[in-house]
Amino acid sequence: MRIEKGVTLIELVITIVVVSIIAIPIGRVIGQQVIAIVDSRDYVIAQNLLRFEMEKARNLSYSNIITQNLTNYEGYPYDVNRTVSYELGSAGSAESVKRVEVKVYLAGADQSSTGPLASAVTYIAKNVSF
Amino acid sequence: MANTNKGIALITLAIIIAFVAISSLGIASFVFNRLQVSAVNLSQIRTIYLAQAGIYRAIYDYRNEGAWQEMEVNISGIQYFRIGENGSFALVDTREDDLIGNNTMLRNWKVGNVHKANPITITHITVSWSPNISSERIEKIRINNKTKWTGSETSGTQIDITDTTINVGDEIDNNRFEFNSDMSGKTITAIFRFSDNSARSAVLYPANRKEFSIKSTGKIQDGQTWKRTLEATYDVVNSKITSWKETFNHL
Repeated sequence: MRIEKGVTLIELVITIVVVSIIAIPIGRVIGQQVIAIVDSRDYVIAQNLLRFEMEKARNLSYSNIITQNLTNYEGYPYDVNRTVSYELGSAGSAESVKRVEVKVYLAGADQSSTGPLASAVTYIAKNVSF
Repeated sequence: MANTNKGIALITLAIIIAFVAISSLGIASFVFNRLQVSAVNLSQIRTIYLAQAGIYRAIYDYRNEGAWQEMEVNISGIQYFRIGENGSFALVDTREDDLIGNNTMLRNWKVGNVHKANPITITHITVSWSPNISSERIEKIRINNKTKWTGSETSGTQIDITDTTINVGDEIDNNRFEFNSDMSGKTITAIFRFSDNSARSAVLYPANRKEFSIKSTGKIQDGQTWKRTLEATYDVVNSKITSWKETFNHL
């Protein structure tokens, strides 16, 4: 009977050791999962806002397609930067093409050190309607 | 009883560990897949706007110089667009089309070449009409006042014509399709196939347009290659894009 009680104690010690060894990596995996779930949500929202802003830019009159930094875009906790430059021609040209790049960040993120959650670039030409 | 309790904590522990490990891996796999789907979605969004860039680039060149050409442009980093194939340079003018000879001949449709430097060559034409009566046939195709094919074919048949080259800046006119019956009240469509196997589809009757059709493929190369292609028709008289659709035949 004494031997059997001792075995249970040894088992308990082994259990604690094994749990300690395995719990750390499993804890890390679970932690990463939680972060990834939050990231995934951010990516999906950012992509939808990106698409929304790209379509909006395409439907603006040509002269109104300008560089803009929009904070808390459409009420969402994301910042959207629209950067516009002349790819071909210039402001005074009869014909020109603007390069439009849209980047979506988390609201308040340090944009110099953090990459955008989503970005896309396109051209829009002057004097073209649908 | 004492014997049966032996090792119970260890076995329980093993079961718990196995359960937690399997659950964690399952969730990890799910989350990983979800992030991968997000990345693919982003590439899909970006490529369609790259394709859009190509369409506007072609229109700009046409408006600026009256012609354009195929090109691949690296917009930034891993983002590209490619535009142009022979069918894209065919400027189809249907503004003076009419039916003559008891409405059995469709004449005065024209095809020009808006490529900056290269000729384009039509090798086949598929003529379709709707509504289609089974006894109706196309019997002759004349281009530039020359007979390019004679025979008897039903609607939708691809016809191998004598190759017809359109030089840079040129336009072929004095063209005619001849049918065996009255074609009034029908919609007549032609698909011109070119020597590079590209095609240009156009409604020839009733129609009143002068248009070319731009195909543009957006591409992202980030280890994998992602592509999406848009095809837009540009009305050169009214400076309007008259159709805009996605196609799965990439450049």
